[in-house]
Amino acid sequence: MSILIQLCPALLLLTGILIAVFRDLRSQTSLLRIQGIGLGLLPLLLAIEQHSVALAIAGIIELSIRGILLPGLLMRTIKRLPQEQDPATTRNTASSFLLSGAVSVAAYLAFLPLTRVTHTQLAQSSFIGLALVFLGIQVLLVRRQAVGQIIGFLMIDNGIDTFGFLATLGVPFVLELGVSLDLVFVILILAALTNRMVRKFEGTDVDELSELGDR
Amino acid sequence: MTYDLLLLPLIALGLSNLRTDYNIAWITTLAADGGILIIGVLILVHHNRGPIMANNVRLDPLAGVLIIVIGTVATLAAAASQPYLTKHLALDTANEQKRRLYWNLFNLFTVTMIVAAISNNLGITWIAVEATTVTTTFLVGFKRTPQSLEAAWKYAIICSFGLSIALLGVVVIYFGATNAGIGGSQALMISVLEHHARELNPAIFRIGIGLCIIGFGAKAGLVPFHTWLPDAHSQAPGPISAMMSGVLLSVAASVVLRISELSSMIIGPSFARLLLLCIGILTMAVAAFLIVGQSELKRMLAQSSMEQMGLVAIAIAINSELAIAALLLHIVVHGIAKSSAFISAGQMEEVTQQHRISAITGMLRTHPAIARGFLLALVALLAIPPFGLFWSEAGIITAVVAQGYFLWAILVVALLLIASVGLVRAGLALTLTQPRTEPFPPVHRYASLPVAIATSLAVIVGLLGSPTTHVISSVASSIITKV
Repeated sequence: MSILIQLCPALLLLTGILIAVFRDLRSQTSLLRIQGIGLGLLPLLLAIEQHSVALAIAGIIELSIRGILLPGLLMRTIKRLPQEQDPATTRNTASSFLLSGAVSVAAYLAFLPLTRVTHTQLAQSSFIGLALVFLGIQVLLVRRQAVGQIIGFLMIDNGIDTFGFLATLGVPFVLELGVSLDLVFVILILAALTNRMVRKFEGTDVDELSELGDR
Repeated sequence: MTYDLLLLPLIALGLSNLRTDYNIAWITTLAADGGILIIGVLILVHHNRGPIMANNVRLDPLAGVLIIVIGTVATLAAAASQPYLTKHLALDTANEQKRRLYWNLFNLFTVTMIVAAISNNLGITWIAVEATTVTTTFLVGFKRTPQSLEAAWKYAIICSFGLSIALLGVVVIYFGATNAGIGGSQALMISVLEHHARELNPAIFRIGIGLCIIGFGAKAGLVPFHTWLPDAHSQAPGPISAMMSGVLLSVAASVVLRISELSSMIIGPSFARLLLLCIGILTMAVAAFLIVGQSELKRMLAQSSMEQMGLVAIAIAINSELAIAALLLHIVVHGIAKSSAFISAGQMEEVTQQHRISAITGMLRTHPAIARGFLLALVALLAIPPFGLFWSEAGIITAVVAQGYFLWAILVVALLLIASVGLVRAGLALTLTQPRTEPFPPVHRYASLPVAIATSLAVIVGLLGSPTTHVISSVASSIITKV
């Protein structure tokens, strides 16, 4: 069981790096789905190991929202989009890998004071959650397509959740539920705005959104 | 009292969905917001008996002041919403549906701000602040123009990103608390964390608190996540801009205040002070230079709000009794003055169908009632006595000097003066110039009434003198010692 638990963070980090590297929105969303499922499995496996009902409930919420609902919603939005290549993701794959590796190391160093005080092996790997946050920020800043930015935002949130499970065995239930609900609403709103963008601009390149500003 | 606070806007929300010929949504929202104002006053009156604490709720003087501002500004915005909706939705085929959506989101927005103001649990505070983004995004994009869509997108993505950073901070704080042996849901309660301040690990809390200050600062319009503010405020309907600028920013700033108080107890005062001084002065500098070169009316007002929030951040950083007293007065008076300015600016834009300052001219001749209201609000914002903003700004600057930060005080005064130049120039260009020749549509008979009432309130608060200072300073001392 503990091997499976140790594998989960590795899977999450791997999907995070691949999302940062891949160019196609559908592949990114599929990877995000795998990441969401991994994030749901982590508390479920912990629940079996520790015989905790609270962790099991958290796992079911995570699995249904981050593994099924949100990636499904994103996929539906992507199917309505005109075929387009994200202009900002055409740089080569090697440099994306390198940047993602650097980001993961930076995450490890920035949060060293946290991992230093932890004692369990699981908590030691909590920096993986932070690496996901940093990778999500990288995706959010680099992508120029609306859905690409939503994926980045979701990855940041997945990272925070991963950190929560690895470092503290899950945040209080109220926060868990509230965060998930807020997340669902934010993604619904962003998806609705993306649909409006397609109608108004016939595309979702956020660089089109440049009428407002201080000129 | 807590339940009344939340029930009032929820009842208004429920009633606003009834299908009747009367303006039931408007009337019930006005009544609910008036009720919230009264409850805020009651909380302040009773604060000497100690804050009302229940598990996740804290009705302390700071919450009281915030509830008063929420009640006042929401009442003004609700009053101004009816003429706005009547005009804006006159030619819209789906007007009934949009009207209902507007009132539902308006009341939900009020509820989420109240929860953020009274919460004693950092997790619930985060959920409520993020919920304000959820409730207001469609209100920002209410006009459905390409520009409002752009503003709504930037607002949702930047604020949610900033708040994700705050969420990471909240989880780190939870980690730090559980590491010190505080279990379960208790670990996020501000009062519990304050009680155990000495047992908590400062190295962990430095990361958590730093992330929280930067993250929640995003919602208060502070650097580095300030870029959503001018876009969202300029594109939202006038009354919604008034709510966002008048209270939402202050509610977010109050969360920063609570976290900085926590920081002083756990890490010592210097960490949050240095961070907030830098963020505050940078925000003021960015805003002041943008105001001077600004050509659009509501963007200019939004950037002025940003500047005022920078000043609030500096007051939080100083954290002396005088600074906090001045800050509380500032939140109240700025909320009233800025919401009036936004409401009249929105009316000017509605009648002229123009956004640029150079295109809206001669308002004093064509629409004297709106122009007088705007000028009054502008004078209040320029912190000219007897308006309350003069006392609050003077108080914050005095507090900065009293703590020995002379250079920072000089910078603050210089940046305030730079911003004033832009505001005065715009005010004169809007009102005292020659009007355009084409005819304007008439305005609603009572359109300028909310602004007139609000600016009078701003004067009264400034003129009241000793009663105001007595209440504010006693509230400030209770925040310093008890928060």
